[in-house]
Amino acid sequence: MADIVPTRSALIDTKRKIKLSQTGHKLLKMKRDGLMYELFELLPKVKDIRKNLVTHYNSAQGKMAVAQAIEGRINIKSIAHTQQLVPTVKVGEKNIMGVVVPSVTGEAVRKTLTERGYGIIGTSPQIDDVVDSFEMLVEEIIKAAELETTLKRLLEEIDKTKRRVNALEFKVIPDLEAARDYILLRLEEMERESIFGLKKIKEKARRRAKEEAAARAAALPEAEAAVPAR
Amino acid sequence: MGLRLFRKTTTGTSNYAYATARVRAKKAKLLPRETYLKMLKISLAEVTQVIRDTDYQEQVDALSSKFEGIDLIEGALNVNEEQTYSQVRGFVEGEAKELVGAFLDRHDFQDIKVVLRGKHYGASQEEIMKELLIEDREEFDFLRRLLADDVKGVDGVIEMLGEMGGKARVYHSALKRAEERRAEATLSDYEDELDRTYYQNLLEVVRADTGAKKPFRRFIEKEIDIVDLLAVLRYRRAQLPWDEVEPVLVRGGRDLDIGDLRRIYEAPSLDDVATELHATSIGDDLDAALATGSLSRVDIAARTHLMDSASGFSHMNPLSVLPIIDYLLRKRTEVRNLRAIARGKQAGLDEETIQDMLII
Repeated sequence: MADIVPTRSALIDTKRKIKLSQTGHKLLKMKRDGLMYELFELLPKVKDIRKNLVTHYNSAQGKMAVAQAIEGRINIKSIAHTQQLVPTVKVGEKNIMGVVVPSVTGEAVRKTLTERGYGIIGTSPQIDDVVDSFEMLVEEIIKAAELETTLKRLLEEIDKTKRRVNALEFKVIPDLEAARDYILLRLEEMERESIFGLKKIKEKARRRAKEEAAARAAALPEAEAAVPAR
Repeated sequence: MGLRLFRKTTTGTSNYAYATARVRAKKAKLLPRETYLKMLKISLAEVTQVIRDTDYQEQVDALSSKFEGIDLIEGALNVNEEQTYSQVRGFVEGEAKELVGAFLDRHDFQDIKVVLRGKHYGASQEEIMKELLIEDREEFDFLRRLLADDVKGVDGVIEMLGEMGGKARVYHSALKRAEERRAEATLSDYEDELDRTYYQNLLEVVRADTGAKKPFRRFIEKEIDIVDLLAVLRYRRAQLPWDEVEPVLVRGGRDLDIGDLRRIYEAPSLDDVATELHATSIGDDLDAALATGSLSRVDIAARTHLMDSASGFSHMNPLSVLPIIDYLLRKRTEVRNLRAIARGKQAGLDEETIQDMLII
């Protein structure tokens, strides 16, 4: 409180700050609630995608095991060399309540039978099965990457917003209110002091006037006695 | 090995009696169905020991410095298979040699495909070498030239094949044909053209519709039917237009002409495919597999059918090339089954899944 100047302008400034903080607090609370809503919307999707990811991974590994058993690891490795279009990932941005989250899209992930590069006559359907399942797995990984990063960013933002809400609610606004109260108190004190001072001066002036009047009244009979009668 | 391709028609006398007696003896050494069923019930270490205790010990020892674990077993199985082919090539003579050689050329075509894949990917010479099944010195020298570091990409391989001349030109002209079919040929175009060339060459060799070649031709035509059928089913599943399917097919099969294949392609369901196939000799054997809806099952059923056909043909033609072909197929199947059991056990697949993968 030592650095607070108890002036009217400081009071006005503090009151303005309190109002701003309260508005900010309200908005941040709304943002937090909105983010929480988004989070709860996203959570089941993330859970599903994680579950799908595990299912697809196990399925792909199982099919790879079957393909390696039937075709041999050497042949599978050789067929893997035929890849012509390498899958790529494009990362964009989108905005959820002011939070910038990634928008991940895969390119050349799913390919047609002819785009895969290996010949059809000399290979077996097990190869198609294993390529299919790994393509699906990559698709799921891309989806999971987008959703899980979004979830992470949302959680970070919710945490940040919560800290800001708490700081405003429990620190900034109470401090400003205390400052306002202090200024008000000081201003009232100063006003009282000023009134008391004025009263004192007024009393003093009144007393002086009274004395002067008494003095004048005392001086009047003497003057009358000095004047001879006609 | 390209150098064996387009061999001149052999004029010497065939030693069918001797050769078939040799393969009969070799066939007796192949693992029976019961052994596979027993192997399904034992641990991976025991499976490995069974493989070592059979015909494969020598190859396991030879490769033990280069590979380990299941890779060692797979390598040993592959080398043993190649050596078996070499042995068979060694004891057949005359027309039998020509036919067996033409049949086994599929492995040489496969090696060219492996080289193309490796070069396309930019794999090192050593890496590609590990993926090849090199049968002898002659083949090693042939492939080494293609794998040289200054041979870059698929175009480099095609150019080198052209420069090598001689019989390597068979591959060269097949690859050039792929480029004629499609200006910007893809690796799958090259691979399919090589496979088509193999079957067309094989049909060319067995064209004479008489004597010992006749049953062999029938068998090859059956194999082409199966190859085309599986390709059509895969394209059908991928929902690609017929225009893309037709040029890929080998054609020249016995039971399925292009009209049949198109009908199969256009069949609304696998049940309708089964109905279409009932009119052919393949149909009944594929019914159960088609009913599952799994093309992998259909593939295994088709391979089993082909092996049974080879067996049937060999019984009907005991003094022909068919018993030899039957043995070669059985040997390939044994290697495939042992690999499936070992790899399946290693991957932790259950007994039923592994059994479904076996051709027994």
